[in-house]
Amino acid sequence: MLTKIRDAERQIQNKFGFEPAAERSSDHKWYKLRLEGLPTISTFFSHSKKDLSPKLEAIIARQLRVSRTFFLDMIRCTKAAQDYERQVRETPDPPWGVRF
Amino acid sequence: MSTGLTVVAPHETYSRHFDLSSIASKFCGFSVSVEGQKMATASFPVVERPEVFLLLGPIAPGWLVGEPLRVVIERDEAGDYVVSDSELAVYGVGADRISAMADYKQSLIEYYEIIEEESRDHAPTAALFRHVRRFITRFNR
Repeated sequence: MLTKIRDAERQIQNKFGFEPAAERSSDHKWYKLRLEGLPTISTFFSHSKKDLSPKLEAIIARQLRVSRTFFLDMIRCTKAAQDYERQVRETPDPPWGVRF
Repeated sequence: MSTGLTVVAPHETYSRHFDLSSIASKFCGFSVSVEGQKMATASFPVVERPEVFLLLGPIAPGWLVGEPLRVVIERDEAGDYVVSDSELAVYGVGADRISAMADYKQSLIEYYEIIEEESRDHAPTAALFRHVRRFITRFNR
């Protein structure tokens, strides 16, 4: 089942606390999240598409520092904000030593 | 026409024609004559290997990639081209290579601007911004 971009956007905002960044283009919608002591986590979705392919899911998961499986669990409501924060603090994927 | 065969195609191949007689003969072990259709066409998704290259130089008026960015361009499961890098975790999508690359460059600039803005009042992000500036430079501002 493909992940709908609108579902992913809604979930990361409503459940995980991501905030929309100031709009810079009509093509991309950026979101950012600050967690105490960590660099800002940012991601974006292309509005030229409706669904995320598995490859895009994997790229966005990486931006969020989680595995694709974890990202899909975030979107499908089986992970809570606390789970996500614990994940990026304790076992980020990739680790924070990999900067972006 | 379906032959029920799985075809492993050469990488660059889009489609090939197969002689049903020779296919049938191969599987039966002896010569088989196939009447009617002499040729069949096997179709399969175009598979392209990811291409890796280094991005360096101007990417937009006033914007420069000053340190080579290792970029991968590949097709996703929906058939779109996806350009991404491992250094900044930025990506671009498009129906062809050129539009995907244009989208990627736009994403790079947006990413720079967001991290720059965040770094102004957030110390952990300031270190990240220094990393981003290693690769992307804004000039003539």
